[in-house]
Amino acid sequence: MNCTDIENKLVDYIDGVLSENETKTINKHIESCSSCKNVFNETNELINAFTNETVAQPTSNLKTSFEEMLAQEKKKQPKVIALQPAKRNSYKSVLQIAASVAILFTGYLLGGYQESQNSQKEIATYQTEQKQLKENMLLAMIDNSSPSTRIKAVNYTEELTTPDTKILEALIDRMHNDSNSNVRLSAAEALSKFTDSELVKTSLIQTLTTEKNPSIQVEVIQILVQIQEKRALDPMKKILEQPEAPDYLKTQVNIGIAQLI
Amino acid sequence: MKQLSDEELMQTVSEGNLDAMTYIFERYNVRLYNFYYQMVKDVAICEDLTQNVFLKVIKYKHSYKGGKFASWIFKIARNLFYDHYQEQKKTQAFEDIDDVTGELDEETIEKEEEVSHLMRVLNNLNEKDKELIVMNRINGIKYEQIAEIVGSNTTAVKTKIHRIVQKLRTNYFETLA
Amino acid sequence: MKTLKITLFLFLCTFIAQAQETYKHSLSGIKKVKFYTDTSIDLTVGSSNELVISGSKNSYQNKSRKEKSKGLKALYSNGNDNTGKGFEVTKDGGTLIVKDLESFMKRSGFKVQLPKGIDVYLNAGNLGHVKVDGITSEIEIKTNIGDIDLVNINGPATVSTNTGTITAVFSTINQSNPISFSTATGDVDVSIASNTKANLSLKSTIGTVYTDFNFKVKKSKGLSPVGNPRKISTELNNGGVLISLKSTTGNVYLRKK
Repeated sequence: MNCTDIENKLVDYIDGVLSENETKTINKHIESCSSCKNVFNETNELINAFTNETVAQPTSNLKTSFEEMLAQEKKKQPKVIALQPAKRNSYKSVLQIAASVAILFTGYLLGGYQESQNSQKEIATYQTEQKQLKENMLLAMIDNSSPSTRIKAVNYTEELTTPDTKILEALIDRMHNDSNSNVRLSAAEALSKFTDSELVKTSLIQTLTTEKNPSIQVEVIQILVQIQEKRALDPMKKILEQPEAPDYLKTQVNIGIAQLI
Repeated sequence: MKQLSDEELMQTVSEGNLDAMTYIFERYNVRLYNFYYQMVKDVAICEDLTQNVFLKVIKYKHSYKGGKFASWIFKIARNLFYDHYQEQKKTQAFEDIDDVTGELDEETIEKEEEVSHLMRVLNNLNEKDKELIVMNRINGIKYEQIAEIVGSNTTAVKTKIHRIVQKLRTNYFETLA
Repeated sequence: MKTLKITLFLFLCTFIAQAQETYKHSLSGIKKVKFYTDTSIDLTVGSSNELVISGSKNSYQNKSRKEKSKGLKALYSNGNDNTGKGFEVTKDGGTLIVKDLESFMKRSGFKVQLPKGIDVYLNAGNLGHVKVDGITSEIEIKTNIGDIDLVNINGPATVSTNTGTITAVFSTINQSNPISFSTATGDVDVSIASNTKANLSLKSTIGTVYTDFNFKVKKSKGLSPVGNPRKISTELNNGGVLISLKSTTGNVYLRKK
């Protein structure tokens, strides 16, 4: 093998896929040929650089949007799905591109202007659709028989900045009525982000009189104290009168009352 | 369902069981994302492209006719990338007109620094070469499979990749400060 | 002669039934099994697609007493014993419901075997403890004072107890749905692999959170001792499924496996 042959085999040599004989030949050659040795060292370093290149991780958005997409596709399922590609700009065929290049000369500026107008409109519609989709999904998931799915739905609301009343009502319903205390607790936590809403405030106050699970009671007291909700004082005092309320709960109530007055 | 092979999973998807897509997603999302990420260093675009691959898999589920699933899904991924690339070229033509000054702002410079030397050299390759090397060296796809994906034969792909490595090597060490 | 054969056969049947003290129910078409009891449940993975209940010995039932009840049927105020073992087993769609009719005093716990891929709901009432080993599907558990001990599970898991301690050792973590543990006065002690991808939410209102993981804690805003939710939120290995561990007065321990 001459130097060019060696160079051509270097990658396989480094990958370790050559036969024993070939490997030996290259070993020998590299020992005696300084230019090939240099090429080998460099190639080796380059190949190692690839291995060291870190694996990039997508953010959780990818999974979320995948799940949304899947849910939407599932809804569409009974319909027959056409095999033709969707007519979208990005999937233009070569012919279409050729055609648009031809048009480009005549309508260059006008076309560019209209396109950006349209795409802006498209983005706006897309964003509203996304929000709608997220909300629908959430509403569908929040009644699921699996508690972890319900918690997942409740956690989705963290991504909504301004959930509409339907969503808030669904969350309140979970906080008041879910059979699983972890779901009730998650719902209370989620609602703590939307305490600007009067509906949310009253529902939290109501929870103090109805909820019997001390973990949730403590959580809700903390939320109400943080927003300085004085209307919580009465139901909090009532908890102190309950013989079955554990001591640590009463301690939390007392600290809370002190902060509210 | 976890025990099923990629091919079996895709089979159930084409039979209309979309739940199997979740497993396909779990197995392929990071690989596809990385494939794109080496080509375009933009999280949002890469996530969009990756997401679109799965959408296409669902849309064209009936056109999957058996065969190596990995090759099939990477074919889809590639096509989407080229669509994106064409699109990109067009919009860039518009942007260049606006951006007469062409100066780099500080943010861009900072971003540049985060990119490894290897990536900078990779970016100087043409898209076809870059794609081959990314698939082989970063995504760890075997020559045979790449040949299947790009519609070529194994020997040709192998020779090509070895040549790209040598080309890269020269650039890599020439530009290494 | 014929009657003798039949008697012998019947005798053998009862003998086998008494010796094994197990109850089996096929799980074909069943996705989820729910248990309601007031005593402890020890759940492990079996080899068949069946529900197998065993070791449900009745401590008060000595031999002479057993003799007395021979030929009679046990009556319970809370359900109908259709298993002969003091359990009521009913089917509701894809869900099998197992209701323990015996009192805590009479039954000192029982063992259950299920296939690993089945969803389970375990309600151990006021006094029962719960042990689960190897179930890879969704788990929902509720106890009042009983401890909860989970090993070789993957999640999703939704576990709550009032005064019990929750201990869990996860094998890999299923990224599909969140894991959520809460106890009012007990501790939460969870071990996960160090490469687990997760969004963590760790909180103890009065106790302390301990871990051997190295992660940055996002500082919560505000300094008020009561208003401050004391919640620790962080991403582990770039984030993943939500793992929420809460204790009101106990401690929270998160360990590397």
